[in-house]
Amino acid sequence: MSLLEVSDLDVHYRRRRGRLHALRNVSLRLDPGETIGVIGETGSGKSTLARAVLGLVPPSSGRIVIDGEQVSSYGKRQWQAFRRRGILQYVFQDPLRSLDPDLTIRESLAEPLRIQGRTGENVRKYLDRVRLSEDLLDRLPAELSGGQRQRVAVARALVSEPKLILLDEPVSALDAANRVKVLELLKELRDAGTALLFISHDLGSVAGIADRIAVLYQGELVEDGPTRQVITEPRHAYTKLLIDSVPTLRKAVTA
Amino acid sequence: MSLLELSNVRISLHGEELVHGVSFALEPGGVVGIVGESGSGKTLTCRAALGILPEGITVTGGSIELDGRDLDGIGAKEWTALRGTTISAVFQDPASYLNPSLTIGSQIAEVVRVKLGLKRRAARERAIELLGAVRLRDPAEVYRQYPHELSGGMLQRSLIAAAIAAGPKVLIADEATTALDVTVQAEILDLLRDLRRETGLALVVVSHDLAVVAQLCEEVLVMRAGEVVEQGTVEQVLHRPRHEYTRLLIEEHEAYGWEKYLVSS
Repeated sequence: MSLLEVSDLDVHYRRRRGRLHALRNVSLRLDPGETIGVIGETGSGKSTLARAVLGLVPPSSGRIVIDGEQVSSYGKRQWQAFRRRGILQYVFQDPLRSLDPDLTIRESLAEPLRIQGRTGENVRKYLDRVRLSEDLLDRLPAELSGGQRQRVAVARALVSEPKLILLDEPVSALDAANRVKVLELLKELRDAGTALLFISHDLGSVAGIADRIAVLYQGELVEDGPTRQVITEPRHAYTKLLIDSVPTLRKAVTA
Repeated sequence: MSLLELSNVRISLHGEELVHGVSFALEPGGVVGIVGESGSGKTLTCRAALGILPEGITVTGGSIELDGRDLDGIGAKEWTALRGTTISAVFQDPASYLNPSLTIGSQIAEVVRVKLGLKRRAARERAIELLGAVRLRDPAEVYRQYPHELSGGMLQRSLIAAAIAAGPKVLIADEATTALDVTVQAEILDLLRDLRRETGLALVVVSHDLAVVAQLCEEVLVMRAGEVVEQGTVEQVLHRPRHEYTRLLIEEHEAYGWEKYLVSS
């Protein structure tokens, strides 16, 4: 059984004149432990897809099933109960926005457990997993560097031992050294069997991690296949354009 | 003779040195790339060459020569005369360099009127010509449009049109494609390449992305924390990087990017 199953998903936003189709007929499956990269540029609908999977925007039609539960039909209450179970977690681009500025790192990490009614005493080991020193436990987010904060955000996503983590541009705001560290970490998560839905505009940062690549273009999923195949034999014209456009060191030297 | 020559340029804020000696020589029609992240000093170096360092920050060592002229101690008036006509620049966020309440065309025509002394009608014609030169599909239509009506890529093309309006010899592109989608970035990089080939415009291309710089340039400087940690031809820097930081930048592309799929295919 798939861990995540998005079927024929449509999302419209109401506008003063008519509707804006953010997503049209998008279908996507993710198996347990699988990592899929969803690539899209401005206006592709990638953020809408992230928000729909997290229950932040209601689908206009179609279904979203996560771990056997049809969450697309859930109301607010049911979503709350579903989130509390911690099967699905997320990491966004800007860790300052996903960490409460008034909570220490220890409190932030313990929060997902508290919500489940458990004590949050054993959060230390999650800092270990993201290679941060325990000395940071009593600091506030503002006292950490951007790279450290993003690793805390990953640690926070891990404490409920989720089956699926949604990552929306998780390394786009980081410098090269921190990008490498966070990507390394995501690779370890993948190897440890956590499924990742990695959404990004940057094919370059996703390709090294994803088992599969899906390409969103103007609200439609135009390509979905194994990473190597999508990169070496893209089928859709837009995927080809995208791949030709990405600057690579190899092209630079052979050009 | 070099068009732009920096020799051991040092930049400081109230006695604290921020850039510790940058040297390069840009020949007519040449391209030099600077790679570095925020805080590396790449933008300060560019701003020094444009005479637009932020308040309190000054060039405290070395020399900058532009078109055979030492820029040390030249006044505001002389800077104004040089900018646009000899050296020009485009930056990351095109929308913030345009007045939202004026049409694109009127802002480019103004540059042409002030810098080249053209009359109103001639300035308008020249502006439309320039919008065509940066390959905007319908230049006369774009001339009438306001910034909010254009996409990011169209705005950056318009700013490049404004930057080359007075026929500069050097164009600095500082993270000029960073905020754009990758497909649009490729178009803008092509445009810069063509401008160079067709008009002999010399370029300084600045980016945090080694691959962007490597694609356009012959010589590359890698900067970190105010220091040039590596400098050489693209071939040298990519194939025989000497500094650990350069190796990290390359490794990032090779290990986490998709280069490996291309290599083995």
